[in-house]
Amino acid sequence: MVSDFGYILLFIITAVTFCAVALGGAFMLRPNRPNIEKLSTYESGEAPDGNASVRFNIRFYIIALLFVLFDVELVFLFPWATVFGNKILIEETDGVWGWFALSEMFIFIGILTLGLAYAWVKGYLDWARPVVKNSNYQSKIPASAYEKINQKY
Amino acid sequence: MINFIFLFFFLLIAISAIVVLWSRNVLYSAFSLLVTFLGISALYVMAGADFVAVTQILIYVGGILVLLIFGVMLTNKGDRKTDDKNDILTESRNRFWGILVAMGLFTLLFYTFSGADFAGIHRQNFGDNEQSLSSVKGVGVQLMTEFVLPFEITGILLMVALIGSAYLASSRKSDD
Amino acid sequence: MNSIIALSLFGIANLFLGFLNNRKILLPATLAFVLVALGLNLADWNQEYLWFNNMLRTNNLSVNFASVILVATFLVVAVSRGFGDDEEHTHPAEYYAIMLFSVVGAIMMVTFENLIMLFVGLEILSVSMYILTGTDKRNLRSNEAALKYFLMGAFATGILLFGIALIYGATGSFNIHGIEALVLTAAGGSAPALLYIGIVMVIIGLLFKVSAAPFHFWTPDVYEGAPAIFTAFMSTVVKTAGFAALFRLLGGAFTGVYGTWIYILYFLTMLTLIIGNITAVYQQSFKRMLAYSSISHAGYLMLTATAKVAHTQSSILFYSLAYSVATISAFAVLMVVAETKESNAEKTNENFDIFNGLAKNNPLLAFVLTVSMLSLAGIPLTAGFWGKFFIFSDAFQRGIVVPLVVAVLMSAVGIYYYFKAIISAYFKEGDVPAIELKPIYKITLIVTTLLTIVLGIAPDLVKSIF
Repeated sequence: MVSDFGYILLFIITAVTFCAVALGGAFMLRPNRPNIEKLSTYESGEAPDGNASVRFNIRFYIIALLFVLFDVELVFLFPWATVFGNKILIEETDGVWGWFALSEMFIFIGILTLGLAYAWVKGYLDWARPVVKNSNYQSKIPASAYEKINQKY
Repeated sequence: MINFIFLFFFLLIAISAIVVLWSRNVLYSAFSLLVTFLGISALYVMAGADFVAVTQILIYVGGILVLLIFGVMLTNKGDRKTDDKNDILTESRNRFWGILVAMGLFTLLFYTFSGADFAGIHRQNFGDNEQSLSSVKGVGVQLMTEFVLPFEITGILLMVALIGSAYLASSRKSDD
Repeated sequence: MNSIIALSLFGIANLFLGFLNNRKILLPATLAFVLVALGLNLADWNQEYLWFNNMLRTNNLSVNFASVILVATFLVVAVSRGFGDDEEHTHPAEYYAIMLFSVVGAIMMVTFENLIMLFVGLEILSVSMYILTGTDKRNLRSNEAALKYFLMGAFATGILLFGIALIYGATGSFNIHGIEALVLTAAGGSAPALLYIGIVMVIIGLLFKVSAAPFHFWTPDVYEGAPAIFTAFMSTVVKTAGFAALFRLLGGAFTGVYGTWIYILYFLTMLTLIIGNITAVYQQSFKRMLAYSSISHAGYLMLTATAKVAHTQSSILFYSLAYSVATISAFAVLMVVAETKESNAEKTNENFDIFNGLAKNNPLLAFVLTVSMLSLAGIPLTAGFWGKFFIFSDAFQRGIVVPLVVAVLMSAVGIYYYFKAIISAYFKEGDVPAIELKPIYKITLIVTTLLTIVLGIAPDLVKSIF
């Protein structure tokens, strides 16, 4: 078992070494002459406005919460999937094993699906949109004037 | 060799855990916790509990830590129009009692585990554990046979958590 | 066992009944669900069963405990009145569903045979309670209480789980009868420290849940912050389930190392009794007083849960029933009075003076309050008296003198603060307008009061069953 994870360890070591070599090499080779313009945040050519760490919208949070719950459900699916179609177990039990495992998992997922259906119908999964305010400002210039300009040029 | 790897992960966990505790910036603590969780999952692998290791990464690193960082980002109070740093710093630093409690707990657990006789426990026959070395299959068989009731009831637990979190976290407008 | 499955399905059904846009249907439906569960539960009477590979055990003890829990749930649901008509801010479908789910957890804590079931049951019960505490989203107190309860409760569950893991490490078994046998053999030789630490941790985790000192500090804030109806639910169902679990562990699995935990528990019992009763004297808020009173009642129950003999189970059951019924009627009166004052746009604070002059216009409510207070104080001719009597006589027979003396002294202190409510209701000036009670409310209050008095006159009616 440990040897299987040994490959993962090799990957981790490779990744760390790769990053360290690339960044360390660049650090040694590059000239270091910072100024204010270079240090400012790049915002698609716009002048940076304020700090990057702003408060996030609560809507992300509900999605993240539901994600964690289904993550936990997923963890239970893995060991089940490895034994569900196991030939030896099915033969030993005359096929009962497969049907039993299947129905158990259907019950488990069914309960959570009902929960999901509940959240869905209640609208908890809806993306909370900001309310668009209709302005009642009346422009003095009629719309036809814009049309004319558009046609002219 | 395996001892060096163990030592490496052990140091990784210890150092990142200390950073979690001593960093005043909550976000740094959260990211440091990520390293701690990864290190712990490596220790699980060495203990032969590969399923727990993968679960640790999947749920803690992939789910709960994301939630934690979301939490930090949601509670950010800074005004976005200023260029000042608006990190969230913890005010609470109860060093003396913290160290005292931690030391006491450490002594207790160290005493407990150093005197523990785990060898006396017969390995439960987890499916065909002995041959394949992977514990996933054993966990699967146990889940479907001996522990089938706790498994199904966990569904109810997750359902309660789902309803509750959706109910409590939803903003008032969508509560119709 | 069947009641667990039925309640799970009923909870889901309740959730979807909420989509019918008919709030009226939920209350009778939930009451019917609880009754069906009670029926299924009683069907296991006089049969000894092990379910699902020794995961659960149903016997008369578990049926009795589950019945007390279900009766308390029924009464709480009955006094909830469908959570009013405020469509926007209350969601009865969710509340009732979560209450039913939490009862699933509570019954699992009563019937468990395997420590994993104890943990999962406790977790379902706790998670439901955290949610119910925070249901009043507009109330900052409620939010704070939910957060506090969640953090403290998660910590306690963690300790419990760690304890279970250590016990597994020492004995290699999750099954409580397997553990009992292994603990007995281990106690003869040199038991590993692992086992003792594990046992202490499990006990601490459970004491946290039943709010025994010194793990009680969350109780007053949480009880005060939570909506009154859920406080009533919390202080009855959680406490009964917690003590059932504690009793089954102490009286069964952990008896082998009796000597390790018994003195710690005697000390904690006395501490709980003293802290609960003395602090309750100084409370201005009625709800907070009931929180401290629930701590002190945890002390009385601990006094008898520490017995290693099985016959004390009837004392615990009787006390739980008497305490639950009295607490529910006290909270019901508090709720209805506070609500009336609020609808009259008066400032309410849930203090004792909310009851000032209650007897003038509402003799029934004042009487219900009086009986429940007398029962909690343990005055003769109420169920509470016999509850205390059985517990004290058990303790006397077992010869534990010091905790018994403390308990008797503290129950004398208790009389003082329970009478404060009665004095406000009858002798203080104030005006509570005549409150019109809905029929179901009135019937429930009359039933709880009658139950308290009948059990106070003829305790053997129930005691002989337990």
